[in-house]
Amino acid sequence: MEASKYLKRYFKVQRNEMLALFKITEKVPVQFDPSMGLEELREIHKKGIEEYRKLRENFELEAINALAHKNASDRLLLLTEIFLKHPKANSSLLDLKVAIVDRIMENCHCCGWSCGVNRKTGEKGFCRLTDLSNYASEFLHMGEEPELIPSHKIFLRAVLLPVSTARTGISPPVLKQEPKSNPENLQS
Amino acid sequence: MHRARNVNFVTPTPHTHTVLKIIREIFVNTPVIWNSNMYHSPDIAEILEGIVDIYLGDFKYGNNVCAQKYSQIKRYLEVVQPNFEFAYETAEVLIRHLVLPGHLECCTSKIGEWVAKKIPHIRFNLMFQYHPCYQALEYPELGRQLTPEERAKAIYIVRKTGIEDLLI
Repeated sequence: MEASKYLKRYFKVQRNEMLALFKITEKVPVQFDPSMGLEELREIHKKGIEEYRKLRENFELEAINALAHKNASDRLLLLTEIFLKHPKANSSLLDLKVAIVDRIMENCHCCGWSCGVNRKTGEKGFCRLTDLSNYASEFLHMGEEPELIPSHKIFLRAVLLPVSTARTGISPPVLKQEPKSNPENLQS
Repeated sequence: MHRARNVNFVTPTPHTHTVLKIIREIFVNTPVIWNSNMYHSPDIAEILEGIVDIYLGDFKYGNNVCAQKYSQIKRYLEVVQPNFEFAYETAEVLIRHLVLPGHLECCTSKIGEWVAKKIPHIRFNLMFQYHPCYQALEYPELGRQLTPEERAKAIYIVRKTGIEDLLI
């Protein structure tokens, strides 16, 4: 099996030579009030993203230098120093993203259907979901592309493209929200 | 999860709020995979920058007519193409395309050409395991598996577009 040519950053994260992107987002401090309007929150997000991009580039440049060291323990030490130099922010860009999506659900336009319903008050659009997420299953999956396995897969329940033909032919899409045995409420 | 190489969210779009809250609680440095049909809104696309490491995106149809016919979905390409482009700019992308019988020219070929032109440096998984089920029999043209000739032709078509990182 040929190794993938274009998932280089992904492999670096697995070797702890680079941070997963959300780990960078967590380090970007932003000030906001969740009660602000959606547009105002998005403006703050736009500025936060600029900071995130700078920080990401910075990490990548510094990591290249660290990786040039021949000694493996030196490399690890340097990388750890680089990544720890910026602490996790108390109020971060990740927190802001959570707040924005929370507002998007009030006039839901998460997907291409843009139904505009308020899922927080129990209204349902095309996906027939409120703000409660059920998951169908969760396990260590071996049936993915070779570079992805083993993969901690979390199957959330929803149908957006009611495909007449399931992808693998094993599981037909479920058009009604009918929780299987013991659905877990991920929000509690 | 012990031994996992990543965390992989399936059908994440309408659950973005929950997915973000789960990610916020992850302590370890692990790549986040967005296992999706890529039919999300521009607002959600913006939110996903700085969250998703790999977009594991299905690219099913090469035109809106087939998308409307088999998935009753509107503006398929207008929604998914900008999402693939933005994903390409901000993270890494692994496309899955399941070849449908009789849809080599209108879907497989069109998708391959677009990818080669717009987002060439991606991993492309060309899949052949189409098996008619569920409502597929309402569409007689989809009521069969691929022929070996179609399979060979699909590989030929995608190779010809110049896509380099092809998983077959």
